[in-house]
Amino acid sequence: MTKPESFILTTDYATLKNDDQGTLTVIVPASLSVTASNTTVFSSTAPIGSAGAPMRVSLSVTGLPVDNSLIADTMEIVGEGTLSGSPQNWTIRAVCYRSSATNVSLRATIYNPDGATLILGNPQITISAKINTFLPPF
Amino acid sequence: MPASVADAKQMLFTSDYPSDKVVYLNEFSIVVPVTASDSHVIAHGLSFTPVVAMVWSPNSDFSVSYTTADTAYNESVSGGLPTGMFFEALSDGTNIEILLFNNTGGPQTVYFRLFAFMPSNVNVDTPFTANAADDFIFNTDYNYTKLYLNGRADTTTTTTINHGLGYIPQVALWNENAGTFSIQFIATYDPSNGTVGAQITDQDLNILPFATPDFSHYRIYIDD
Repeated sequence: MTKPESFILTTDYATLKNDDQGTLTVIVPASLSVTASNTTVFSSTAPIGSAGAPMRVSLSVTGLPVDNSLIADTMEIVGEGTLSGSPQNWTIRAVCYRSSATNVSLRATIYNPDGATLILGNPQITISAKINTFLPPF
Repeated sequence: MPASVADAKQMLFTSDYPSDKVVYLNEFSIVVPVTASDSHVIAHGLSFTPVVAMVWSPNSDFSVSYTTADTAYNESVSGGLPTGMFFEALSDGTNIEILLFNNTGGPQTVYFRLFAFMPSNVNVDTPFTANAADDFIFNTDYNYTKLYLNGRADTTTTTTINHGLGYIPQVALWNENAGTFSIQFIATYDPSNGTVGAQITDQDLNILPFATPDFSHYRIYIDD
């Protein structure tokens, strides 16, 4: 039912229509090491929503001292590990995006730009993305 | 309160919550040169500063697409998506400015879709964006987004907005800094130094103090 002839309820402004929803999760294992000048990637992909559908995303992290759900499609999780025996900060960057016409992906990366192995010394960290998609108002 | 349906013979449309009203729409493509400092400026023609959402894609059909700025333009720097590009939309009282970053080594055709809402602290007449009477806009095939709470919060201190829904609702958030608006796209969780961003729970939206924005514009939906 797309256009009944006698149904006259209209609006003067375009609006958003809920399309689909889903959750993606990646797990960063405990005691992770990232070799020199390398990026470690964890990703999860699932069919969510229509092609080109805009998204709203909230990202959640569990396993660290405080569980958090944050309004963002990019999350940086910051901690301190060791590099060649000295303290070294690390960042896990989690990003949610539409990776194909049918799929949405959550991708977490840890980049080590240095010339020695980065030891995160982390607990197991679970990152989840709550995704809502919309039919685009175009 | 929901309307009475005691007499079901009377056809009645009612809503306890407004649906989103998109006050600005734009779809276009540009060729983005290799750059880390350019911008593309569009006059929005509105009498107020809108809160703008953006989707961009390297494909005209948006089969692969990214929201406002959900990619680090240079993975080797910060660990993000290997697109080599990054775009962010800013708005003020006159223009929408798209910040352009292209680190791919060559010009790239990029497709953009922009849509915007009126902030909660503005109440003015504005041009229609869907005024063809033959267009069937409200259609029972669709589940329209339903706005539950919206407002403008001071971000110099932690602000808690109680929604009390008992589940984590959809939320959209924009930062306002010296009159320029940008969508909230990134949050930092640092157990040692505190979280930067906005937390959502099944009861509250907690907008934490930001480094630079003066205010946050929030839209909490009853949709989960």
